[in-house]
Amino acid sequence: MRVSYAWLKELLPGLTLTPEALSERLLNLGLEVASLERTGPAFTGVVIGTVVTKDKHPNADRLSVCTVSDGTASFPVVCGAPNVAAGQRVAFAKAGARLPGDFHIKKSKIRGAVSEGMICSTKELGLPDTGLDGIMVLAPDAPLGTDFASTLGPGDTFLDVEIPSNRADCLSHLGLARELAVNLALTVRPPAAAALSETGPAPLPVTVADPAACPRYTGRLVEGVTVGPSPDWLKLRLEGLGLRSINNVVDVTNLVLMELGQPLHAFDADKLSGGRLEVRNARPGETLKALDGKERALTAEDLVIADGSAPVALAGVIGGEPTGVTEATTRVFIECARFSPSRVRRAAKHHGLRTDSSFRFERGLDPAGQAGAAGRAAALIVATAGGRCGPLSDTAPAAPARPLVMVSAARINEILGTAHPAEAVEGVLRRLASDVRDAGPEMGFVPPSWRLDLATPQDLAEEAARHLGYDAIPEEISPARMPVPSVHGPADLRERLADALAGLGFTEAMTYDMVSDKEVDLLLGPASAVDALDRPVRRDDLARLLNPLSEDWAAMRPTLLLGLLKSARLNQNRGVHAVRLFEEGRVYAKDGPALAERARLSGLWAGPWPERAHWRRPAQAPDAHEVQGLLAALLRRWPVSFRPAGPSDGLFHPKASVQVLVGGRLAGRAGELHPETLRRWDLRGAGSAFELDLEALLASPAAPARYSPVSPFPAVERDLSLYVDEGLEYGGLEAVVRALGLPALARVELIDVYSGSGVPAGRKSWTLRFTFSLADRTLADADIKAAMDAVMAADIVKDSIPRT
Amino acid sequence: MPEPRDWDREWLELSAGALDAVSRADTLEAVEAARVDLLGRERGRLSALLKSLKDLPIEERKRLGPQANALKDAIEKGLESRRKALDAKALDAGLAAARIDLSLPPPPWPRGRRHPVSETLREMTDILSRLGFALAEGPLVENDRNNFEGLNIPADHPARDVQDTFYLRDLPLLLRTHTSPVQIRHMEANKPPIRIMAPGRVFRHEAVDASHSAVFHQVEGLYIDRRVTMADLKGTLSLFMRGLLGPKAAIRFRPSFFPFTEPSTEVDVRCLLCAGAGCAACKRSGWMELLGAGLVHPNVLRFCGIDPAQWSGFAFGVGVERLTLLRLGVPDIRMLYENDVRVLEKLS
Repeated sequence: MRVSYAWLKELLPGLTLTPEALSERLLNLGLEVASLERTGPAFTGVVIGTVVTKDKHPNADRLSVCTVSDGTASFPVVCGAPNVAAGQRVAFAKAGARLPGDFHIKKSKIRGAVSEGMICSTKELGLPDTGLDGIMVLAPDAPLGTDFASTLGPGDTFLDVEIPSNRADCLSHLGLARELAVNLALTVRPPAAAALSETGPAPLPVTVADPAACPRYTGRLVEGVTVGPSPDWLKLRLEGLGLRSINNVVDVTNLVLMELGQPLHAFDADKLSGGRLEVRNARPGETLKALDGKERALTAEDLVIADGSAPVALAGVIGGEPTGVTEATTRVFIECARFSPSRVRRAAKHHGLRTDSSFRFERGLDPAGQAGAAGRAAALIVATAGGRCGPLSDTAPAAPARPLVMVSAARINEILGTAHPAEAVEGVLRRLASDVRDAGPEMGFVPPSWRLDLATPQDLAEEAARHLGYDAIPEEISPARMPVPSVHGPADLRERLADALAGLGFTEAMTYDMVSDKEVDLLLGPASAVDALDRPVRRDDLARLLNPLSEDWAAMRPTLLLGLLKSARLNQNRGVHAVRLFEEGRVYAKDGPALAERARLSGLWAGPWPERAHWRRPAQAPDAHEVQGLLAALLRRWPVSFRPAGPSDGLFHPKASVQVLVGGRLAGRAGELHPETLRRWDLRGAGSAFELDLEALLASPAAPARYSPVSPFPAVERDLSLYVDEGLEYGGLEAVVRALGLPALARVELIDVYSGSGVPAGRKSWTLRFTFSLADRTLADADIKAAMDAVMAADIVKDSIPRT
Repeated sequence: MPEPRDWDREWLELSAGALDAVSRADTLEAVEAARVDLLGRERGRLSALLKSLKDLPIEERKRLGPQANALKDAIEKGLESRRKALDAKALDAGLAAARIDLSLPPPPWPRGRRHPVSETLREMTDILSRLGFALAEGPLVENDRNNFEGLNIPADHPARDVQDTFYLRDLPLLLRTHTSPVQIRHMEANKPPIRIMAPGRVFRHEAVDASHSAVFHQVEGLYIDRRVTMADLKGTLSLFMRGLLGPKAAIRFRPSFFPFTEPSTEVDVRCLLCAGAGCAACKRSGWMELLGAGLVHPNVLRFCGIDPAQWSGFAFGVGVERLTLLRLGVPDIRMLYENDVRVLEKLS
């Protein structure tokens, strides 16, 4: 809210703080001042002078040399303005004057002519632009020699105060004055209540259909008004606050709004048909042409003021144009009411109309404030527009009951952890409210009618804390009755895995949870896709936003891979071709009438690594084998296995991708991306990815760390080269060897793979390394021989032994 | 009958030259040759002499035996020391001859990293964890009850203005606008005392620009116990902020308004960029708002089935991105969600 310091001072005559000190004070009350703006003359040394003579400059066509008198002395002045003329009264900056922009006026020579000052334009003095070119020409009777600044009236400082939503009472100058009065122990001087002679006509009858929607409606008629421009003081006051002056009647309603915080509306009573008003819900088909000139269709949700035939105002938000006050108006009906905050809020939102009025109604008005504001407005209208004011109509003259809060200084100190003297706390409370009752150890506090936010001892503790200073609260460390420190399984798991992936060379990414339909199309392509848990990802199952910011954020991501694909593309477009990213986060899908939100961990590797050719490191393409190895390293504490994924998924390569099993349970997908996926995302080179479901992973706990003996006896290795059938899969061969159940076999490894010259057609060469070890003794040659004989006797091996 | 051997002459000849021969050996081969010549099992001169000692009368044996064995020890020691000296010389010579270009570019090793926001999150939760806060989490898609109603923000409350919300289509759900719903979930499921922190993502329906993201992170804290006061809040948050920003960080508590706390406070720190002199980042105020906090509103406690007459507590929420941007000098919050690896490489 924009606040005039001068106005505030009128309401709080004891205020001696400078605007800067006031800002600091307001900040410490929780009312932050976003900016300070000074207005008024920003110059010194400028006097009213008169142009005595005007001659052409001897050396410059467009300049003139004038003699300017301030009434006591004359000065030669070079002037460039075409409108300067002898006999004018002007604003004359003498040598020594200071103008805005830190501009100092000095004696000087301009093109050889002496100049001892300057004749000023509005712009040079920082005054509002008049639209006229050249120097400012003053009234012919402007007093010569007078300090020009003093004729402009005093300046003011405007504070832009941020009022929290619970402090509607501070949305006016009077409200802020009250707040400061409590804080500074000053007395508020409320606006003068001129005695109203209520000799005018009786008010229009008003009916309220639902008092919950409109708890109070007061009104007055003023007849015989002359609508016209506002007097200067009123104009200046509103313009200072950034409001446009419209006419004396409308300006008064705005002034009272800014002064008391009570919104008012003035109707042209002669344009209200039927001679009565009704506060009701709008009816189907009704419209309102509002003061902003726009015609609005109303709904039954809208609360309106209606005359005998149609709505004339959207309650609390805006008035209607046809019934507004114009130059032709002579009878004014002043509305001063209280509407349901939520009804006003919904209407303002629905119609996209945030007005000074709706802003205040939404936050709650002083229920006792309507009659006073209506009186103040009527008195000001009579004073500025003439006419006779009639009596007040009021649908709820009785003030609503106020709560009684039982509280003590001790209780407040207990809430705050302070040791404020009782007098200090009670002093704040007594300055806050006139109704404080002593009741033994406690006191009964009745909040003033404008403080709707005060209802509990905690509320009063905050009042005491604000006015006595948050700095006065000590800093203590709670006497810790600490809960048993607990580990958090899911978070710990995520952190461990994320750290491990970072160690394995992946960079953590963060992508948005919202995705566009276009991106989903890119992800799914024409084929279907499944997620980490082999569940189909369908467009129909996407969790969609009701109010997306833009098309880019239409739905919630069904997989983390979407964001990673997008990031990989961005990096490749920017010239980084080797991209290894991971992200942990949530994925979303509709699940019948509910929503499934699951924690996932995904990685994506596009392009060979290292990115640049290097003399020592051949580049490694991100194929499915690499990704399996990566996951085996990442999940080394879990019993991980892989099984070929079905062709049901268009995201991954149909042959080069696997399901990740942890403890036999499906926990994710991994492998090379489908060539079509790479093409759709415009990714260069090969790409692989994985997505793990962290909840599935948590359901299969990692093997606990535990000691078991390692053999102190030397291990023995035997290599076996085979020419196996070209179609043989390694898993099958290893399974055969494992099925032999050889007691001393510690490891089987595939140490060489070769096909090409020397290998019989239809075969490929594999070299296996067998490592034997026993925990309790050294192996004998016979042990090894027996084991290798058993291996070589297996059918699949027997058939593959090279014949020499 | 063989001529009796002249033991003394033989002994003199052998002992005079043996040690000398060993010390003259200047290659490993020469050392080995000397060993074979003297100590060789078959032809070694000293070996032979020692072997024939057994033929001597007992007195002679007693006289010559120890002498011969002492010489054998001396020769063995001499050989060993020559061998070592020659080994060391050979190694030195090899090292002296080695040519290794250490200015060659070393091979790359994987250089992964956590996201800068994760790093800040971890720093915050590490500090809070040392202050006794246990971790708690909740879903990002929430309902109105946990996100607003339970937190004393009824429908049509103007406080909803600052928490513009994404709603889901066809479902009575929304994207949580703050981490505070975790308070509600935790208090409903647990009895006090409670001391939790809840880090995580939150969403605001607001236009994205250099300093506003519709997706960002917060860390929530909640402490409920007997007679928890504003002084406890100040003490804990002061420790938290100084843990995060250094022991000399200047902190300011000022009144504020949140529907779910009463009294409420905003916690400012002395501007991290201008140290209070006033700059664009702190809007010339010298202070930066980092954290909102307050004593948990009695309505919130009551909503969760906790008796406000018995228990009180404080709660706070701190943004993660802002501090991350400030510390790392990142000019645009969107950069944190773009994942340009060249940028991320610089940030952690």
